[in-house]
Amino acid sequence: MSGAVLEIDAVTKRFGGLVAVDALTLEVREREALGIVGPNGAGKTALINIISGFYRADGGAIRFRGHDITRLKLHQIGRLGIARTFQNIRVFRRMTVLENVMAANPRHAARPLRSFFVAGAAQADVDEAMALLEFMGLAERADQLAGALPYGDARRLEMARALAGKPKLLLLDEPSAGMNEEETARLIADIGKCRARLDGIVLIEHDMTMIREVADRVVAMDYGKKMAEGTPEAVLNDPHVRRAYLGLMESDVAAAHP
Amino acid sequence: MLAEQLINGLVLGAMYALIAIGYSLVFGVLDKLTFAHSEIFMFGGYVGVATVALGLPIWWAIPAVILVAGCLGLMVEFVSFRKFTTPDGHITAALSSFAIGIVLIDLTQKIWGTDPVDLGIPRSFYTASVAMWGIRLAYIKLAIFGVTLAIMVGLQLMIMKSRIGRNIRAVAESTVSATLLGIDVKRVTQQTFFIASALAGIAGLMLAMRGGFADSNVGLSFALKALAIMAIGGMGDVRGAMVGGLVIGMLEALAFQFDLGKLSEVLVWALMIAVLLVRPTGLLGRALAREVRA
Amino acid sequence: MTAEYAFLTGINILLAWSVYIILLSGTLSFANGAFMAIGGYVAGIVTVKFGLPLAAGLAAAALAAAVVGLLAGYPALRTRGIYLMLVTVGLAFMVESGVQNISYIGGVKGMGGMQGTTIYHIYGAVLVVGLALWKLTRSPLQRLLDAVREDELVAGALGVNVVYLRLALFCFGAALAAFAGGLYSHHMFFIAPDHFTVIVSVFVVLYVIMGGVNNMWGPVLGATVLTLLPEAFRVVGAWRQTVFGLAIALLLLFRREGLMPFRMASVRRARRS
Repeated sequence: MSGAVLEIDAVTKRFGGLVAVDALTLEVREREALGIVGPNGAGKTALINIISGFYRADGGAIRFRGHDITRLKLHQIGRLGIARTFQNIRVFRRMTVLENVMAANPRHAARPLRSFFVAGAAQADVDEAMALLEFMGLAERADQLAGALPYGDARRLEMARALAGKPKLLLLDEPSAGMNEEETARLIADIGKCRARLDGIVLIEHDMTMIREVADRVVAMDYGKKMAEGTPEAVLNDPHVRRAYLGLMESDVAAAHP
Repeated sequence: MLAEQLINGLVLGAMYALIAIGYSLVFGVLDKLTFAHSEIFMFGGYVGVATVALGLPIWWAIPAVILVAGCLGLMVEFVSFRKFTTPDGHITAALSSFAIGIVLIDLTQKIWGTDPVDLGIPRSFYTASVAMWGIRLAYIKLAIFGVTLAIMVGLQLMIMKSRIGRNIRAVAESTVSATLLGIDVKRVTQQTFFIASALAGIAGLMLAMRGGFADSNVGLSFALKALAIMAIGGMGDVRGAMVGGLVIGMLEALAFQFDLGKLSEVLVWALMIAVLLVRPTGLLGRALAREVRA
Repeated sequence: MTAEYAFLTGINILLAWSVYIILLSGTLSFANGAFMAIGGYVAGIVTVKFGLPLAAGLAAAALAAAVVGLLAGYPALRTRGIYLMLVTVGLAFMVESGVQNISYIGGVKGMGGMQGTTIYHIYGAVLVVGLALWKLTRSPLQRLLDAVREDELVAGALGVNVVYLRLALFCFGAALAAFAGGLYSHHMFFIAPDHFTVIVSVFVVLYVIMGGVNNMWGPVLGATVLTLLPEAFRVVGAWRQTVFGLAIALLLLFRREGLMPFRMASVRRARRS
């Protein structure tokens, strides 16, 4: 399993009596987009939370390019180059779009007190942030309040902000939730654009179109365990996976494409 | 004498417990702290002064203080708590109730002056004592302990058995679920404040009766400790408040016995801080799962 | 308005700013009166008992408070919300009690002999701190703090060590409050524990909240108005506590923007290319 960008090694997470993640082992390979599918409650978001440092694993280990990050703190993991987005979009609502991205400037985030001595609107910082906004198509909205953004733009802002730290690994948690076909297509294109800058992507999704278009490999989870692993076609046609999703698939697709 | 100090400790603890229960009830129902509580306690003593000044027997002050303190509590709920329902509403409520508290102190001092005021009851009232098992037990201390014990037992019964008690417990558990069950949360909140404040008022009256005088400073110097006690015993946990009050009262009396009295003040707060750091919900409260490692 | 009122206003501005600095990272401290006490006494010890100049006293005061802030803050800032509020209140009580019981500094009766502060010292300090805060507002640090206040977990995920930041600001605020305390004690010549009760800590918070928390001038406004109003109007002065209390309760009831309104965007002005 060496040479992988991210290794999840028998990771377990319990909440009281409930096992959210059950001795899960998987890896994210160099330059790949790994899709994670599974019914609600399968442990997908819990897994993302563990990787990104929001939860602490109860067992097992996580290695990022060989570096053991299991016990690292939230901000340490962020600085190492793992970035994420959230299921329920969490932009800084009362700050402008530009400020959202500038706040994520890794030089300042890592040395906050030192940033006191820097000019607040240093041209270099502004240019860097604007470049990211242009990349994600948000340049016109730079001075708008993030809280006023339409859904799709807010999602893009989250991604731009996540990219500001020049991460190596990007974790996307159901980015297409609540989007229609057109927005989803745009999202697929955006993720495609980002791939060039990243060493790996983990994509949690219910939308099978996105999985098919974006993911190189897919892992299916249920009850915190790995149900199946392989190419998108293989996994999505796997009988166990279909059974877990039975009844969910149609309504899921319908909900994802209103 | 050790035995006498222990009795003092029980009496002291009983008063702490009554005040702490009040904090607990309000926190349980609203998840907020009331900083007017300590001043309602303080005012209880002055209700006693007023009762005697009107020529009535001192024991009439008990129903009087229940009414007066209870109503003050209702007023505090309306001004300082009703409107502040946002996530950081607990700070606004704390500051607002603190503001009401200092108004109460000022008004009290304007009416009765800043020095302690004699209750106006004959000295024999609190010096009369009985000898039992080789120690002198002042009647007044027995009476105070008896009254507070009866109140605590009554309160436990009420919380466990009566409809009001059940409603309070339901709202304390979950406001949303309680509403779904058809409970009028606003009403229950008012009832909780009335009860909590009445308890504080009674405790204040008891303190005044123990010493023979009412003092406008006791809110800050005495009652606020009960807040620390509640935090130690369990935020929002009535049993924790009761047990915590009695234990801390005893420990404080013991500290005075061994001439460490001044230390006890610092220690109670230090203990509270220690408990809050390790187990924020208090010793008897349910542990919250705090997941983030930040 | 006499020099005495000007002096007190200056001190209260510094104190209000000390709370504001801590509030920038989302922490409300009810212990700054205690830090002021530490400052007043430590500075007094250095100048009176050891005969050193005022500057040394003030430096020692700030340092002592920063150390206490570090020791108390490190565990305390792991708690949030109501628990944090209680911990800072507890800290205030502990310092008050402690100071009452240390006979080296006079216990309940207090300590005297401090002198040397002039109005220029006070307003010189106000100017310096004001400039520093103004610089802060125009720096990336302000954005980081806003992000932490908006969503501390997301800020953490972006690489901000939130606990460290909170602790640093807590220590700065403590040091500033202590500095103000040192200036205070060397003007008053005499201080006693009852100058620094928990009520003082709460009042200082009120200056900030009443004046407005979303920029650095709010605390100045709050401190100035709430210091001068009772002094200017005799009637208000005699009933100061009641008037204050009612004003606070009413204002909190009718404030629509809530307790911690957000600073509005400032980067946009400099930006447009």
